[in-house]
Amino acid sequence: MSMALTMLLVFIGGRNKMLKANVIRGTLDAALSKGADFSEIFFENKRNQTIGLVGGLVENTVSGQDYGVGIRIIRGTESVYAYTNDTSAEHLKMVAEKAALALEGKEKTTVLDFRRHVGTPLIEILKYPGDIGKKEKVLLLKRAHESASGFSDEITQVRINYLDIVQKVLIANSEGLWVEDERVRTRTSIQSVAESGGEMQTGHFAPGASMGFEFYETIDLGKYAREASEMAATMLHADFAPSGKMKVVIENGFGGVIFHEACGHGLEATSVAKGTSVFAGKTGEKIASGVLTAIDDGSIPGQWGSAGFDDEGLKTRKNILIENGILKGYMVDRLNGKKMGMAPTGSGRRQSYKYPPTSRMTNTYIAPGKNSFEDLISSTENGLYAKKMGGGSVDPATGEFNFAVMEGYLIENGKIGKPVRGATLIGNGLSILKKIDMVADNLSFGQGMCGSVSGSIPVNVGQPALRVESITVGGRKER
Amino acid sequence: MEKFKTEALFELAQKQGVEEIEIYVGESKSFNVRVYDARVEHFALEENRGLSARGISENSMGYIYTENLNGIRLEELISGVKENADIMEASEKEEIHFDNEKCGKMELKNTDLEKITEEEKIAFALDMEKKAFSIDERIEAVNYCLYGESSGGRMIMNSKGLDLSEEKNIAFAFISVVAKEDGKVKTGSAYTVSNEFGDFDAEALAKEAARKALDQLEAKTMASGSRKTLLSNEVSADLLQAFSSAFSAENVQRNLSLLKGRLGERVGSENLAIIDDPLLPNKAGSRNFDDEGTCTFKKNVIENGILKTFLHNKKTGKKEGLASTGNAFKGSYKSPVSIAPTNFFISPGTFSISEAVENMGGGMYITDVQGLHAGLNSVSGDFSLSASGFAVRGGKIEEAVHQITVAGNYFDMLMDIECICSDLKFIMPGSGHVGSPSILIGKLDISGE
Repeated sequence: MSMALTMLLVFIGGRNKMLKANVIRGTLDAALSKGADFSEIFFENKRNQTIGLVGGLVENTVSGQDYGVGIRIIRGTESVYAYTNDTSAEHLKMVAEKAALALEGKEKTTVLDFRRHVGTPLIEILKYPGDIGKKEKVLLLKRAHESASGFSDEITQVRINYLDIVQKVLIANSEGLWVEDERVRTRTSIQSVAESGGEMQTGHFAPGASMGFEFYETIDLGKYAREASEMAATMLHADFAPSGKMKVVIENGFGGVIFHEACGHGLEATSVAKGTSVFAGKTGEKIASGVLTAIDDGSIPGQWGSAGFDDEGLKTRKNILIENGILKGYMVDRLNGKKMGMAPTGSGRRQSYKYPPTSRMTNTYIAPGKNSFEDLISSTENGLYAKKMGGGSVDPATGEFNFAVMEGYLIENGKIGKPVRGATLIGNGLSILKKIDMVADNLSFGQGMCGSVSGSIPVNVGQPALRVESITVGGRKER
Repeated sequence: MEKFKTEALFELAQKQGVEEIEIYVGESKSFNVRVYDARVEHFALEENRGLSARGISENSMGYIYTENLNGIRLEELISGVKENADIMEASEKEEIHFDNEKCGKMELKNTDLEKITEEEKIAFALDMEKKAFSIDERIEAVNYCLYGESSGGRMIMNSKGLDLSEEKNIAFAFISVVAKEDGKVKTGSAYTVSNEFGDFDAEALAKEAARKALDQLEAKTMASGSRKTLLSNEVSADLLQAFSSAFSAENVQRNLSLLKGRLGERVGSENLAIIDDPLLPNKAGSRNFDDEGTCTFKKNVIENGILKTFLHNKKTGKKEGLASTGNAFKGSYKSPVSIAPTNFFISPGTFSISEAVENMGGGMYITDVQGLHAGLNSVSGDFSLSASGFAVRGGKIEEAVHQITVAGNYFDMLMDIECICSDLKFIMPGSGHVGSPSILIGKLDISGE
């Protein structure tokens, strides 16, 4: 009988308990056995549930458990990372010893006594996802489907995907840090398809939060569902977007993707530490228009990108990145902080135990300005009003970024005019930050998943509506 | 892979009211190394194992997975399957299959790769970094330089008698460089994916990445307008990958594909053929059986511009009275069975790049696009992407161009392919392993100034 079978058939009790202190100490010790400055263990036990509706019917549903341990060893600025799903004491020790071989040094560090910290949640979870019946979740989604599909006869398909997550983590390191944290998250994405005359267009909305099922009492999911359908139907009858450089007013909420791409990634120590970010070495300099203040704050209760502690076990906090156009600081993780001679800022994040942590954004937003939304439109004689945005990307070394407008409108003579289809907006981070010339007072957030070296993680982007005085719009219509 | 004995599980499933049950186990061991400044900056050792179960209860299929294989409780696994099946509302009866066919046994694991020592592989990465710096003094930094490999397998067993397993390995190398001159900064990257260590050429990769960065240093933007456009092999493959979901019968049946109802019709230029071939040696998308245990085979999806077939799994095939095309796919043990291509590519033509450029006369040669996850809509076919490349005038490649976008509609574009080059290249594997040669398009919209 094979090992695997034995394990499959023996019903081990207490299997969801966190790892014991002596196992962790033994693993951290083994990780330091070949001489290293620092070792860390990240234990994750995550339960998740997805439900997918197509055409109003439940087409797929998966429950799952992600479970594993990541071991990180640092010597100087060199690092080793190992992970495994087998969390038995002997196996962890073996993995740690094997990993240690990759980093031979002289000085052996000892593991300090643990100072235990069990995170007090940023927000009280009122309805744990596991306590809510699956049928109740389906009911919520069916109502959203009705709202979306009932919007107009042109809506030919609606896809709804629901997700809830309870992620328990234990982070301990050789400096005696011991943090236990729990992250509860939920999100529902709604995609509507409108069809007419052999053409299809889509609309999309995906609200989410670091909350339990009570999140759906704080929002009107039906309203978002109708908005997704409205977007699809509007785009079906919209002309192509214009092409070339023009003034663009970017709506609040997910519009914050412009800052996320144009600047946010370039302020992560991941790219700053090697000096390859266009923003490296520029603290204290004026890098943006004076109307711009930007913040990354992982400690906002209930927000999609929030957590009590980061994935290195440090408390999350509010980090001011840019204040009135002056670069104030970066988002820094432990290892890159060491390279840069800077203290970490509670920004170390990772998708799961499979990734070593690095500096990442949490909830990143532009602070509200003084103008009203109407001021932005009325002072723009001709241009594009970008109402709904999609994702984007950036090359931090060149600062060249792009992001997608999913729903746009022409601005003609200071008024919002005809709808136009999606187009990509492109620019260079350093120059675009100086071209943001008006910021409105209507700050809000949008939810997204951000992919980078430490995996795909939940982030908020946010901003009040703002205006860029000139940016290239990748439309299909010559003006 | 280690065998699982499943009798106890199958028996218990019956008792708990799960009529049929299927187990899928995925496992892998990987290592990867990142070098920086002539030393190993990061080293990773990974071992991953997960199990999923799917089962039928009252005609519906429920799924569950876990990575905690030490702590599995069979009752809980089965009741999880049942609970999830209970909320399913699929219009048709779901099934678990066993065809009792003998699938081919193409070797997917190149054991030679394991004979090369870790030291040699690390030396390869260090050498690649060194070579990049030696190419041109304007190479300011090598911001990513890595080698990695993974070896693993999947195993599917069900209560009807299916019992299949397959092992494979794959390696990759990636380099990204930063070139700098007079305050202008450009990056370029290159990669190889293969399980044949001889395919990894440090100098060629370093040169390719450096050339991409250096070529763009003098780039300028260009005026907006519609132009003849040559898409490089990588760019065309990027687009094909992004729009490959339109060929999935699941999306067709869900009314999420513009190719719906077009079987047997012309959907591309006469010179266009798209092939799905799961049996190519050393390719990341190769497999002898799909994730429902159906034996895989080569198919022409588009032939002479005519749409010949969609990609099916058992469920979508049954809906139309067709057999599965062997394209049932699970992204990992975590995902339910869906549909994806295997090695999916545009069949190469005979033109060289210089012949294609000569045919074009004037226009744009696009060698890189960015923001593929955002700037295109796989349902409508619309795309608008940040791009860079070269202007083409008088049948010759001229100055570098950047800070432009290229926009169009993919389904319109397939009808407008003027010539297909011979330089077939496969890109980094995603869901399926996609390839293309460079292709010349009659008209796409370029936005710049």
